[in-house]
Amino acid sequence: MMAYELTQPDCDLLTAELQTLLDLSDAAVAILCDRGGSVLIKEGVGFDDEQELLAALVAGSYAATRELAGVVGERDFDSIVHQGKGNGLLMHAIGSDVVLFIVFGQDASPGLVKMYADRASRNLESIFDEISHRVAVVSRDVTATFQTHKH
Amino acid sequence: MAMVNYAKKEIQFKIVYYGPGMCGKTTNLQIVHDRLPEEAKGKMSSLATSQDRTLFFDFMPLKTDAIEGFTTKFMMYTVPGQVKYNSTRKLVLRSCDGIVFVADSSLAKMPENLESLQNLEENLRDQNDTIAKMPLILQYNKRDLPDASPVEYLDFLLNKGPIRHPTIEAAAFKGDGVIESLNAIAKLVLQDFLDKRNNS
Repeated sequence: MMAYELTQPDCDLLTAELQTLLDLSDAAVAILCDRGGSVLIKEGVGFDDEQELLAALVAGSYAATRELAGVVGERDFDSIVHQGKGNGLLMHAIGSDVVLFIVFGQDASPGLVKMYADRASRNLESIFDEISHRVAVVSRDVTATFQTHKH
Repeated sequence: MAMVNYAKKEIQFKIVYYGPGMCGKTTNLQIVHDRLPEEAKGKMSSLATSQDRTLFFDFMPLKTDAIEGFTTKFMMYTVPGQVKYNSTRKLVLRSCDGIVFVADSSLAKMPENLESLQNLEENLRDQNDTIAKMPLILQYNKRDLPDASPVEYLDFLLNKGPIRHPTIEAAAFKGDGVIESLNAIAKLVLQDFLDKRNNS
């Protein structure tokens, strides 16, 4: 599995792609996460404090549904849509390592969101194809010490 | 595998608490959540059965400044310990950067500890990894039990490979050894990350 290292230009490209998707589809939030549950990029308003939790749940939910699809014999499985009364959720595979997660409200059409997600997924996949490991960060101080606030 | 975002100056690591059913994995996360200050932690979320047994995973994000110039985030997961949930354990282990193996010190639980460790080995092998290469600490939990095995016996059973992993004694229910385990695995994961980068 790929370990993503995103530079500023990578982030700019991915953010622009997500922003276009949100503009065209009227969806509220789009998050790219890897299938291990890490947030790569988030675009849109809201869920800033919950984005890591959302990515963990998306990775788990997508993997579980993919297994389900495999059990019933579906090999070509790339998206899931959940529709609630207020919000809808869409998960779409980007290549083999990334999932695009979209939250959309009642003012967005699920069909349009899915269509634009399909289109964006092709562009996003080619961007991720270009992204490779790069060397940069180095520090000698590697101790993370968590302090408690009570005993 | 760590995710690095240079634009946001952020590095994310994934740490998984592994071990047999009822060994104290969820308790570890609950104690961490209880004892860390608000600014260092996010919401803890549990996908559990109606009997409070972990069904999919528990999850909690932590934040610190371990690497200069970068916000370092640790995504903390537990796996379900029950034998029947192995496919779920495999999913949670995906892209993991470090493991806290929580062993139950009770003498009666030794077969389950061994089975879980072997299961971890197999699941890591399936994702082209090994226990020897993975940053891992062994937490000998429930040291307060009257039938707790001697630490030497736990070492003999669980820590006899070519690479000896760090061990920490704990009584997670009381909070003993929990933060020590967290800091130990965080240090190992960060060291492993820097070693890999400096050798690449």
